[in-house]
Amino acid sequence: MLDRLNAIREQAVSAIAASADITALERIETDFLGRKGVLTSLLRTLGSLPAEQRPQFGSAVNALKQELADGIEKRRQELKELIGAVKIAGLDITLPGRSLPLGRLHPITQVLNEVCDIFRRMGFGVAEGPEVELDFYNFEALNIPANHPARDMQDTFYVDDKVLLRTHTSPIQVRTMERLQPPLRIIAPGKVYRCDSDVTHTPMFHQVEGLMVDTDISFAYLKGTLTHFIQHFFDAKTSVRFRPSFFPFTEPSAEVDIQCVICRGKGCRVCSNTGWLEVLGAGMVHPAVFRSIGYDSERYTGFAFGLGIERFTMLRYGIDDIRLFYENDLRFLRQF
Amino acid sequence: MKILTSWLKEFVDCNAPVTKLAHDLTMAGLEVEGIEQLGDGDAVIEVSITPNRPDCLSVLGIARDVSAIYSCPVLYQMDLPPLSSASDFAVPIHIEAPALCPRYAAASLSGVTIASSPDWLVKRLAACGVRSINNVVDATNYVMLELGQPLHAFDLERLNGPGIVVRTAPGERLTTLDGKERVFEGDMLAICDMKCPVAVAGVMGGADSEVTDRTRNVLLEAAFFNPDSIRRTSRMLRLSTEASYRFERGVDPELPLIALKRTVELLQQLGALKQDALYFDNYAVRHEPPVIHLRTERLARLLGLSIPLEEVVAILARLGVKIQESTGILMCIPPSFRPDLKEEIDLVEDVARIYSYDRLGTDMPRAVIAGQQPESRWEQEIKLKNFLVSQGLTECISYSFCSPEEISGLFLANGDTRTSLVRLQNPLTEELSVMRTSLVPCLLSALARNNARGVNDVKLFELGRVFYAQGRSMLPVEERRCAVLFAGSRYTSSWAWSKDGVDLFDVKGIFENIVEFMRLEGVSLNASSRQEPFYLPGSSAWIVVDDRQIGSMGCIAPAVLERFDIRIDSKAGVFVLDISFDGLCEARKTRPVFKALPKYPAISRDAAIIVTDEISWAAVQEFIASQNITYLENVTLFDLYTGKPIPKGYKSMGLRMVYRSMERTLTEEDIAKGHQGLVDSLIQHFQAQLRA
Repeated sequence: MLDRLNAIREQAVSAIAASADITALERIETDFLGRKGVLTSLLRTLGSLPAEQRPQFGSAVNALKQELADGIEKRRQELKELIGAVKIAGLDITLPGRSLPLGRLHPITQVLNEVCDIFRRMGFGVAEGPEVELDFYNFEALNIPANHPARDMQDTFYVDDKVLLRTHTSPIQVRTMERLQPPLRIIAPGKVYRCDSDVTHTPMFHQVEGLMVDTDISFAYLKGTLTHFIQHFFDAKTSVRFRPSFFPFTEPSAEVDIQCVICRGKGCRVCSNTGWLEVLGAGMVHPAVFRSIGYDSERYTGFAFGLGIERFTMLRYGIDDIRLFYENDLRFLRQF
Repeated sequence: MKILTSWLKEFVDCNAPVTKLAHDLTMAGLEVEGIEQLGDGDAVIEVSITPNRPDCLSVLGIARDVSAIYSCPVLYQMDLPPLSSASDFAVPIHIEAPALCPRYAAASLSGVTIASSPDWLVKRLAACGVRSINNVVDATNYVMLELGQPLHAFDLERLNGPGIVVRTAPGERLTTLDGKERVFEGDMLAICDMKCPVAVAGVMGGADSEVTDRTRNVLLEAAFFNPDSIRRTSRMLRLSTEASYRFERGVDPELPLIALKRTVELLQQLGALKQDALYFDNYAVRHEPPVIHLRTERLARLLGLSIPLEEVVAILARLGVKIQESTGILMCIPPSFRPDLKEEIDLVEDVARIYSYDRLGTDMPRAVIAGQQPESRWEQEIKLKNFLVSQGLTECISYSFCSPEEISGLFLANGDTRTSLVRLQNPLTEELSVMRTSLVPCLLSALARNNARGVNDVKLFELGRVFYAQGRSMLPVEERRCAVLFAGSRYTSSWAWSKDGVDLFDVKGIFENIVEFMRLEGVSLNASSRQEPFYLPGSSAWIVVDDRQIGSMGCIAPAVLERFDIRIDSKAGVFVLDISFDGLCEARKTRPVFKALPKYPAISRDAAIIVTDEISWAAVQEFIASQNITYLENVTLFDLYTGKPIPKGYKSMGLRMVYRSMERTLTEEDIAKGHQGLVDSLIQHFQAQLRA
């Protein structure tokens, strides 16, 4: 009988050693140790042995059972490691992944969204309006009557006497005020047009303007809002200064300068050695604008501001030629 | 405006170094754009003057602001000359149009010696960008730069006189100093002698009466013209001069006589004039300064800061404003040289400006939470743009204007809305002269440009507006559209992907994903025989929302590619999806409704049928649906094959039918009969064969 056990051991050990995968090993486990396995059936024959041999033979079978179970478990661990090793062999992990090609948003769109998001988080809603506008909304309602010298500040594309391409997104402010009563808090993003074309000007560009109107909006709120915006868009250490300027639709008006982001205020080519960059125009809404809309200019005050997205984008990425934005060269667009 | 610091210091007692001066002027609203150091310790500062500050187009004007900033005195005393009576003055001056010319003053100078100007004067003029001509003309320019009053010198003997008439002169002609003949129109104002115009008022003098080497007697003009009138004239003549630039912005109406006296004194100093001049002033309409009420409470509310009353009063006084105070209200009379000070807000700005914006507070607004607004179309645009980027497309932005040729390159039929072009009156070039009516030309041009630069695998989209003309003085209809273009290989060349070129099903796939992404309902394709003229025949489909066409997709016709200079291998193609974004936004939206997940497994059966090329997948789908097969959950087209051994004109469609019951696990027997019946009827209906 013991010979028989030895034969089983030999057979099982070599089978375990020869097993090439987990499935084969599991089959061996079933064959030898399973409910219908060799050792189990051997134990069933215990009854046919003389009584005095039974304990000895039973413990020998159980010892072999334990030995094989250990052997199988050991082999199982070996196989698991082996699987990894086989798969890894010959793999070049440095090959590029099979990623689906990703597109890119135009850099102008990216910066436009970023600017709008900062204001939207401050509670400004987005308003839009037509790109081809009436002279009334683009100029007259904004306190820029015909023959006003301020029209020189904006080189306008005309369609006819009354119709033009908007030179700023301010007409959206007027249209919004016509429609809604204060309190108002809007930003107006969009394309605008001026007849100008060189390294720093394209005949079409993008603006975001903002407007806040309520009973007690002060110049201090204007400074607070725009400082907050600039320090979010650039960084919290960026210095901001407000200096007097002129726009027909705001008074007091301000140009907003930031410390040059290229030279940190030391003076360089980008800031013409002044250490400052002009990035925003702003001011308190001129009472004449409120009057032309029909708001009570005694009751309501407000501030407005406007900025050019191209300038912000050029500063953000160090782009030195504005015309690149509208050539739609994929070698350019894919950089952002 | 270029200002010499040495000249400035003759007018204001200020010792600030030039860089500090430049900074302080900038922070007071007179932006210094550059400083040019001259060798002799002098410097030229270039100041950008905003249109509201004509008074600062002079040394005196800048000096006044310097005085207000530093609270230091202006060093100039304004002197009025003695006037002649009308009868003593040899040249009677008559103003026919007092609304256009409220004031015309003149000085008559006898025995003038014309010569060149001394170096110091030539240098000062040159530093300010003015060329020296002769002592008389130079003196008028010098005084204009110094005080801000444009002056003109006539050769008195060359005027048909005696007399000056200020009037309109429709139809009359004048050759101006620049040698060009000008024709007066409408209410353009002319300075005339007793016969004809001798100057375009406030803009430019006439060549026939200009001062020459032989001039002996001079009539000096110093006037105040209506700013709007000068601006209209300047625009109509397309002629802008130093004089018109100042007049159209507003010159001090109280300045003419002072400026005449200063010019005469200068000419005497230069030795050009020995005797004294005679002065005459026709002041037809007197300047009435406004009385402005400035409320201190209003000032504080607008600025967010209460500036002490005495400081407000002091600032205004330094600016030359006359003030009377009464309980919280300052009654202010602005000086005549500040035409921009018209109402309360103008004074608020000037107080803030001199007080300094830096010293005003910086606060976050306290505000009422805005009411809920529906998602704007702009926000919907961002969502779709981000989605298209995730689909592998790169966004381009093209000019909204294009050339008429780009539109005609689409071969649109007469009467197509897209041929109603909005034309610009003053385009930069013909290439940018009409507003686009389609995004397709924009993308084709972008493709051509990329191909020319060696970039051939192109997947672009643009989301923007197009413009359809309506009629004169009417706004065009603006529509937001979205266009997608595919050309070249489907994937960038990589070990991991096939090298296949793109085809129509790439754009169709994008379209289907858009519909799913935006959860649109009622959107379908319609491949009618009438198609967009810019597609290859038989290669396109319309996109329809509830019977309304909102776009199309297709393969661009070779003739169109040629028009756009796109040279592409004939087997490849350029594929476009052109769709109304507004149309998509207005389509009905579905909201997903939860369905319980199936508890029982499905059984799937494949069948490949060989049919003629004409049989469409849609026809097969429709037929299967019409058969109402029990337990049939879903049919997909898992394979489509043409080529050997399938005969020409035929194709093999591999169909996978999935059967499932929601009540129990199906057995083979449950579906065998139904499936066989379906295959048999497909074979019968489409005269198909089963592929082995």
